[in-house]
Amino acid sequence: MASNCEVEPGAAPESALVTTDSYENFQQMSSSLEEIKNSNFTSSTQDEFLDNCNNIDSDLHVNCSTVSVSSQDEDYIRDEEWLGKSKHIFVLSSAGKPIYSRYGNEDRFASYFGIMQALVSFVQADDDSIRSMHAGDTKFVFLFREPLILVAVSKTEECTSQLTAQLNYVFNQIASMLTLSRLVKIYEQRRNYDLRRLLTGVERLIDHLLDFSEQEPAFTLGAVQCLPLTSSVRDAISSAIVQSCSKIKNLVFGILLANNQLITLVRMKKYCIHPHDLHLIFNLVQASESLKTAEIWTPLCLPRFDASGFLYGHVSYLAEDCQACLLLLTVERDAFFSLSEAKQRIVERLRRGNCLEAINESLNTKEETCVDIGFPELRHYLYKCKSTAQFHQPSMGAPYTINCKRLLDLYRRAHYRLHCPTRPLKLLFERTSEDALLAWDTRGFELYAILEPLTDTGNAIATVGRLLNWIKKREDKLFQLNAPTF
Amino acid sequence: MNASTEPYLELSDNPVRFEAVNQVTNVFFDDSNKQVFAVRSGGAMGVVVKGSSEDIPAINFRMDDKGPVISIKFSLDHNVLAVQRTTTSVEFMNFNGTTIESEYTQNCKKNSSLLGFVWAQNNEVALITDHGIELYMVIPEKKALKHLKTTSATVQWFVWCSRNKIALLASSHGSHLQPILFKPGTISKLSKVETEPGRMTLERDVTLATLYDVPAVLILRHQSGPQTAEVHVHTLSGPGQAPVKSHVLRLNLSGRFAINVVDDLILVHHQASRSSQVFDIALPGESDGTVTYHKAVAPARSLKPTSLKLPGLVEPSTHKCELYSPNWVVFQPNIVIDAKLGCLWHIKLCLPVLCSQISDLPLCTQLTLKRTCGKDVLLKLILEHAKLPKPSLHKLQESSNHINSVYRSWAEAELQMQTASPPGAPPPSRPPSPPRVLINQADIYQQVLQKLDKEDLLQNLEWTLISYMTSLSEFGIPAEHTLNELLITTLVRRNKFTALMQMLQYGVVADSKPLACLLLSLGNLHPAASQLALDMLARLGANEEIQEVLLDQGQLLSALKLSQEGVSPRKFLEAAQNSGDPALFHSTLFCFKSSAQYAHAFLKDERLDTFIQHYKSLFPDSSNNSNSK
Repeated sequence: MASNCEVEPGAAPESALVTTDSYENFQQMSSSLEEIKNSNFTSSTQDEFLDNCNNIDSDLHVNCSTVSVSSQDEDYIRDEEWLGKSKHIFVLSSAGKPIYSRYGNEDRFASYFGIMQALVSFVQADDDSIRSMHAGDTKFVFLFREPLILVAVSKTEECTSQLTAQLNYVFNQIASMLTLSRLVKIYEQRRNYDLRRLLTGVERLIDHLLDFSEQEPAFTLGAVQCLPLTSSVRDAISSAIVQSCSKIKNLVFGILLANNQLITLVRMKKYCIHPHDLHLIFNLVQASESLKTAEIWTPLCLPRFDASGFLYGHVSYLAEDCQACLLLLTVERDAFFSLSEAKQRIVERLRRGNCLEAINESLNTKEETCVDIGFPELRHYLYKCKSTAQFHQPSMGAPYTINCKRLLDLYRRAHYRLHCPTRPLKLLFERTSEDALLAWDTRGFELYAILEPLTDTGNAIATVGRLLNWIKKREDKLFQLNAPTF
Repeated sequence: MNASTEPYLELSDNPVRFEAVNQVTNVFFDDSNKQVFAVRSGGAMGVVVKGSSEDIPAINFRMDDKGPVISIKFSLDHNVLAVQRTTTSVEFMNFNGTTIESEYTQNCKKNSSLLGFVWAQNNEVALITDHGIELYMVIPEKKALKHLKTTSATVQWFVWCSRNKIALLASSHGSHLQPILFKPGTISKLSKVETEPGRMTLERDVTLATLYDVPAVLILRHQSGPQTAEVHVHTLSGPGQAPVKSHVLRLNLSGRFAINVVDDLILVHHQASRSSQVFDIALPGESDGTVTYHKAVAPARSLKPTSLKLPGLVEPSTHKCELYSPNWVVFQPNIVIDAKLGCLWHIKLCLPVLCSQISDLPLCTQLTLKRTCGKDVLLKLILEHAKLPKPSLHKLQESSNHINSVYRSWAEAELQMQTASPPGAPPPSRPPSPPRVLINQADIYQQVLQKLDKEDLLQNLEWTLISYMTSLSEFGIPAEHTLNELLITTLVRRNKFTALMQMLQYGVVADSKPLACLLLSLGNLHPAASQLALDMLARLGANEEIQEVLLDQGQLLSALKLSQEGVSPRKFLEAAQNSGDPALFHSTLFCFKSSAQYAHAFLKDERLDTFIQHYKSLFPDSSNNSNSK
């Protein structure tokens, strides 16, 4: 296996994505926006947000439903279906005001939020912070990010850090709609503010994000998957975007994606996008049906890029006959029309270069399973290239076509074993009565392979070695290896 | 009479009756043939010879009265009768079973005085005089004797042991005791009995006996002063059968004693207290390195009272016999004769009663292990002890240790007999004689453990079983399956699963397939039992069985992981299909299809097609998998 260590399929000298460790601290946020604006001598300010905040005050109204809360609490305590949910997510303000609940109407168990707030503040009083509680199979995970408290109550096998990561996504999703600065400001001015007024429509995004993060290994790995395209096509697409937008100032990112897979990412020099932000974008595109019919202009905060302000995004699908979605993100508030024109130019160029067909072909081709590519004893695998934060997985084959949740649980557990803060493993081989799992963490990549349960160690290693070579041969198709800039 | 004072010694129920001593009748006892001779009027009125039991028909004959008889003895084959009437000669008479045919006489050497004679062999007689021993061969056909050998020694009196053919010659008032061993055609002197110099001994204080197949000289030593009498046991166990003073029996009494030996136990009767004590030289005692000092194993008890039935005119009356009467004469090994009453009894030991009076179980066990019919008594004793509400486990185990020590050495001896000895090594001398009491595992199981197998005695069963098995393992004897099985079921019935697990894991219970099956069947009571069973099978290397168990439990892949040799794909695939788990079915099918050994079976065996169809119905998209091979 040592000979294969040199093989790092998908490795690239520069990446459009911020390379990341999954459980890294989410608190660190850059202030890229100011830089960009300053470097381009634009004078746009954030006055708008402040104006909004001021308006909020006048809009405040008292939540009248609290009177009847206590009697309705009991309904949920007795509601088997509600109690039987495997994972609850709650968001509340640091004052204990309910903001979001994954299941049920949060107003109806407002007293629960009171308890959660009490737990957090009680521990906080000792200059400490509560992270999790464990009661039998149930984990209560807390994340306190000023000014919000996020709580997960989970009966799943996920570990605390994975649940915390999920809570962070939820927080970032909220922040991406409001920006963090505005969120903080709101609560500074009015501790009892009912944030739900500002988050109408965001609940749907959070719901989708939670489901999405539970179904996609991308969230566990902190990476994105690319749509398989030959490198010439991908380069042609990238250059089409670059050329079409060459004259537009302050365009930060151009992102083309389809079916939850990245086609290309073009960026402003010096700036990278964090996979977590990209996940939020993927979530936004997937959750919003309305995008399919119209061009949309939307403010969007990428919390890992800059939590203090908005980027503005021109979001549209390429064409009726090509379901790839193009996002052009800029710092300019009023660049809709220039970007809309740019989009038209991009589509034209792509059409001329037959790139739309290539994209469609790739989208329509059913991806190969492990059996198809000649690894019968391999059931499924995840390959993550660390330097580009991209990963690849084959199409789901038997037997996980029937139960793919088990597969994701396996990956999550293996990922935790490789990244657990106390005793991280480098190599893990585990055979259970149902499957065999090989997880390998090297400097360049992480590989998670699920094999037939009767595969012995030698075979597993040989298979993985062959697999790495196989990926290496196709790395230019499976990964975006260059990071084009405007 | 309560149990604690019940007599453990008794006289035989049917004494041999003979004509009591009176003015015309003399009575003689020949302890070689154990015969009582009632000689009426010197033989002229007839001689009645009775054996040691009433069942043996009496011999009647007449002989001429040639003066008072000093001694009268048949030869060992009853063909020749020897009668001593003077101190210089013995008369021999050929005997055909009913009458005397001819007579001949043998004189001893001149100037010697005849002290007695003994039949050394069938046709050899030894005349013992004050000058030594003269050995003759009797030739009845020629009516003559042939001189064989003479040994000279000063003799004042002698004691004869017919069983070992040993005579003990005493001189210097019994301070010199010289054992003589008789062999066919010859006699040899053994080493002298070492006694305190100058210590005199009376003839009646010396007994020749056989203890545990070893001839022994028992000398009663009366002490002066406050000290009590002792019996010194000199066993002829030294080199060349040299006597060794090895045991001293402390009597704690003084006065007149008589000694018998029953079943290798030494009985010492004390006339004054009318009681008897029992000693066993095989039991451990206080020892100074060479001599072991013994105490009586049980408190002294009187013989059991006995009575004689006398025929009466109207109805038979009974005569209560006087015990320890001055008329009693005691002969070896266990004969008591009351000449006045005309009775000969054998003393019998009632072992259960004796045991009931020994409170210490291990001591009692040791004693019982050496008795000829001790087996049932001992098993009952152990059962009784085990049934106590709070049996002493320590004593129970010590008792088991004694039992197993015998068991082990017997097993070893047997094994040695069976194993081939290397060429050149001397062949095993003779098959070892089995120990008197051999209690094996089956005995304990049937006679003790099974009788404890009752709901209210389960605790006792567990204790007894564990102490017995502990002892077995101390002696390196593997426990038999029945015991292991009982241990497991007992622990299960007592709900002691933890103890059971520990015993299995620490190898207290030896692994075996039947045991593993038992554990498997307990799986529904205690889930861990199945795993213990699997572990045991694994230690036994019983892969086939493990596979069956795993298959039964639905752990198909574990079964396949263990071995893929010689399994039936159909059996596994069917089980996988019945499990309703598609992933399991996938893995199982994959395993067989990818194995070189079974892949071709899918081409040949049409019955396997149904499984491939089933797979396709489960995973319609991945038809590749099942077709690719």
